[in-house]
Amino acid sequence: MRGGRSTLGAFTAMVAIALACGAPAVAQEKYPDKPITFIVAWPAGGGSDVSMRLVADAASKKLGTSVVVVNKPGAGGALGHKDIASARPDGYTIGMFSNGGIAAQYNNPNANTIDELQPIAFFGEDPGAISARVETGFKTVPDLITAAKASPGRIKNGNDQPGGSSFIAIAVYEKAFGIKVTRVPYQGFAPTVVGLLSGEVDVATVPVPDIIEHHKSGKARILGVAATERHFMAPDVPTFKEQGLDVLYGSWRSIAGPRGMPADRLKFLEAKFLETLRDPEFVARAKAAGFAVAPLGIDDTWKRWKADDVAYYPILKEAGLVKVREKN
Amino acid sequence: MPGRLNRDVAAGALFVLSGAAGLWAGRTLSVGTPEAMGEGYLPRALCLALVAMGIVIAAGGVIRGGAAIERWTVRPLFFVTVSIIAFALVVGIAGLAPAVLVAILVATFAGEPVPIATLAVFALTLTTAVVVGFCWGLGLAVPVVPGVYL
Amino acid sequence: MDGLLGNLALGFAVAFSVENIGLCLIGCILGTLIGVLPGIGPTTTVALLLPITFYLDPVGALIMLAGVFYGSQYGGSTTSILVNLPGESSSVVTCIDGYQMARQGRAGAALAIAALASVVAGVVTTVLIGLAGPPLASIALLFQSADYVSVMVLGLVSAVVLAHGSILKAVAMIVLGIFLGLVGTDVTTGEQRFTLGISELYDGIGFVPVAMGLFGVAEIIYNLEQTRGRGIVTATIARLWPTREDLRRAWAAVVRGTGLGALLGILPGSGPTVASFAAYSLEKKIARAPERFGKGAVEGVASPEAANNAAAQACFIPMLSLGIPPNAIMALMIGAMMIHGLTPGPGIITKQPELFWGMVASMLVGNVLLVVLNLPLIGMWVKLLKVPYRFLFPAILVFCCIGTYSLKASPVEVMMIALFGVIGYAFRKLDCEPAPLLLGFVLGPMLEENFRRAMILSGGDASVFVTRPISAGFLVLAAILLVAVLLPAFKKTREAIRE
Repeated sequence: MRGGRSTLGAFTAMVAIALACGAPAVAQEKYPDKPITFIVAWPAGGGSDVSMRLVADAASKKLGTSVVVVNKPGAGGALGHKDIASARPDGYTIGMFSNGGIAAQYNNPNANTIDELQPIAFFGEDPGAISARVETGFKTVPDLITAAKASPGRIKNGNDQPGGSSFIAIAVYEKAFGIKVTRVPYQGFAPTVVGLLSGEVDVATVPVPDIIEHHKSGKARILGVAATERHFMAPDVPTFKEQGLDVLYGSWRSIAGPRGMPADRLKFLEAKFLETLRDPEFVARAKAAGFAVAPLGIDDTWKRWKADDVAYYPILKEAGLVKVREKN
Repeated sequence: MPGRLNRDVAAGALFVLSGAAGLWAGRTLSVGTPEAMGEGYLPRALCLALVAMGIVIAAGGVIRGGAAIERWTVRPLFFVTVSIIAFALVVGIAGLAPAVLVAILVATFAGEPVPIATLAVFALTLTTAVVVGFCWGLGLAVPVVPGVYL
Repeated sequence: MDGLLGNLALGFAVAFSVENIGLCLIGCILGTLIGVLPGIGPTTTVALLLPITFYLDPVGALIMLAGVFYGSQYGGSTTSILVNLPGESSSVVTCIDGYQMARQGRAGAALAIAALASVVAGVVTTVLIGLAGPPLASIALLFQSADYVSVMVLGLVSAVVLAHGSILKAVAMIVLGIFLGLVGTDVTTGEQRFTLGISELYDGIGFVPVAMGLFGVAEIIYNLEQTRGRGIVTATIARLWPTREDLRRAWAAVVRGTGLGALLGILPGSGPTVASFAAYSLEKKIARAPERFGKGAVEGVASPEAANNAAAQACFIPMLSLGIPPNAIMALMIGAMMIHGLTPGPGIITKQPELFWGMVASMLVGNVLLVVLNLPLIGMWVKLLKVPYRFLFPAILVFCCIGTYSLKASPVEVMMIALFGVIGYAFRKLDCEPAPLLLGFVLGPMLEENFRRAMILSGGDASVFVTRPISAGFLVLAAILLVAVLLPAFKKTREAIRE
């Protein structure tokens, strides 16, 4: 018998029985002896949900107990992060923390700060990118920069709401390239892509997986990716660095828990999640779904959180998004 | 409550009040310009429209007169509302089963009286059916009682 | 034509495999079931099912999830008709005449008409997807923000038409609805509005608690009050099935509803809801005796049910051929495809023909399965109305609570049901109808987002709404409709519900 909650009754029971051989849960006193709740602060079906369900599924086997994904969307992730941070630190409630949580610290008075969460492992990063409508004629990022400098504010960029990852992306690029564009907000990547294809905006800062099919079909063109390496889904697209522009930006996902978990359980979780994230079968699966996996342990994850906290602050400040917890 | 306060006057007053409350609650929101509208632009426009329409509706009620407001009965209103609130308060603390039970028990006070024995059988049967159906059948991630999932 | 037949043959070969027929059936049964349960909508169910799709092949997984989705459209009208509880925004309109039919003892006829309207709309739209899906998808790309604004304005004007009492009250309810829809984080600036510091309100007030409160709970309170706690007594059921007269009235409404639904369904966001409101208003507007509407008119059930089911099928068009999800469910379907390493987009039909055509074929199969499943169930649903009200209403309340709690595990959202129940009851006492408010509420955020975006893009020039041909077209339609409503001749036929 698996100890987990079944999903959709009788039908899942069959799947569960089929899996039961893979996950025998003998009654043990040691951790973990019951299912682990994994909170995803985003709605089901999005990139965060899909990636974390893949992780939860693979980690269930390594941890010897089922990892149950619970979606708790709302307030830009703040509601779900709160559930993680305020959970009993017994290692049975963990979840995902992504870079959206960094911005939330400063514009949502109820959001948790990164100090209130315990990093467990780093999942990976979706590098920032910028794509253009084919009709603009832009083939490279320098083409865009030249045009933007010729008439500041005339080029329109599609991005998400202020504080969102594609908003921060365009803010970072504007600053680095010394250009000014009109930021046009959309609610999510899919509507942004529609806006780009319908000619409403000229460029858009959506991540590679969201636009790759349109890049391949020739309706849009990815001008560059803000990473150290080319994106595995778009090997034909050069990085910003290759185009002589020294800018890095990415939105990342990590696994986190509440502060104050027992050291042995924390170490155990770190080890098992790293094992999961390095499992070639898992990596292949994640890659097929469009996720690049780049595992890091507790200390490096924390360093990354801190680094982005420092890097985003001035950008948020400039965009008028620092409303609470001002830094000096 | 027959009298001067007919349905149109009351409805108009309600719209005026809602609009005014919205204007007050949103007084700090920035309005911006048509080219770069602030978060307060549309809410303020809507609230002003509400106030204006409310006045016209109420004035119509005063001039033309309108149907009298029906009597309010407090009992169903009170117990139905409390039943839902009780569910909300209990479910987070004690889980689904107690919440459903409490909600059913409170709700029955809103209707005509049910004999105690019948009520007990009905409440327990419905609770069991609902908990089994939702937690086990549909796999809802809600504990039946704290820490227990089906 | 050869190509189409070949493709359909391929599709049916995929859809008729034992496994896929089974998955389609499971999806349809589940969909019907959750459609009937208030609150738990297809979005939650598809989300819960997502992990299972790890272990299925992608075509089978999508066939099942699609079954859940359109199956729930059939089930969704059931609670609207029986107990005045709209589970989704697209079944709000069905409450108006469907519930009245049920109170007159014609619940069986209403349910049957809803099911038949849905299957006709479903089959016709699916054939349309097969014939012209990919070219039709590009319609979605012709629409820009300004055009969406005008489509929504047309939708809102149609909500005025369906109201019975004072026009001004209906307009005020729409405005109040839009305002309530704006509560939460402003998409454009990221600023909090009217959230009173409550985190649960940051994403706005949820549709489910508002709909349940304004319709279902307010109706319960009102019923108990009117009958001194005894509750409604439904008229004896004369006959279970629609009469010949019912069918005669319904068929043309179904055809018009299907057309409207298929067109509006392709557009992202507002499709099925606007389609159902517009379809109802169209029927009322062209009816010889519009005063029948709101008192159990068959067309008032047939047309919006056809429209919302047609729109539900039509939203597969942009999802499959452009990779654009027009709503949350299609986003989940894309999630399911991503799990299997499939990126939906323009390439998918040529690269994965068995996926596209298999789904089209399975949707035809599924719609037929659904009607076969649903018609025999009608007898059972109607019997449910014979349960004494003192047992029925606590059960309805509990279902509302659990359904809402299942969405976000948020007690605050559950309390919202109570709040909107009281508000709905008060409006009812004041002759203000909730349907226009609900449409404003659903469209409010989209309307504002697109309006502001259109203004940003045009540099603050409002003339963009009349210079873009698509937008101008919809505005002209809205204006014609509005004039028709305001014309005194029409006004005479509007009944005043003042007793």
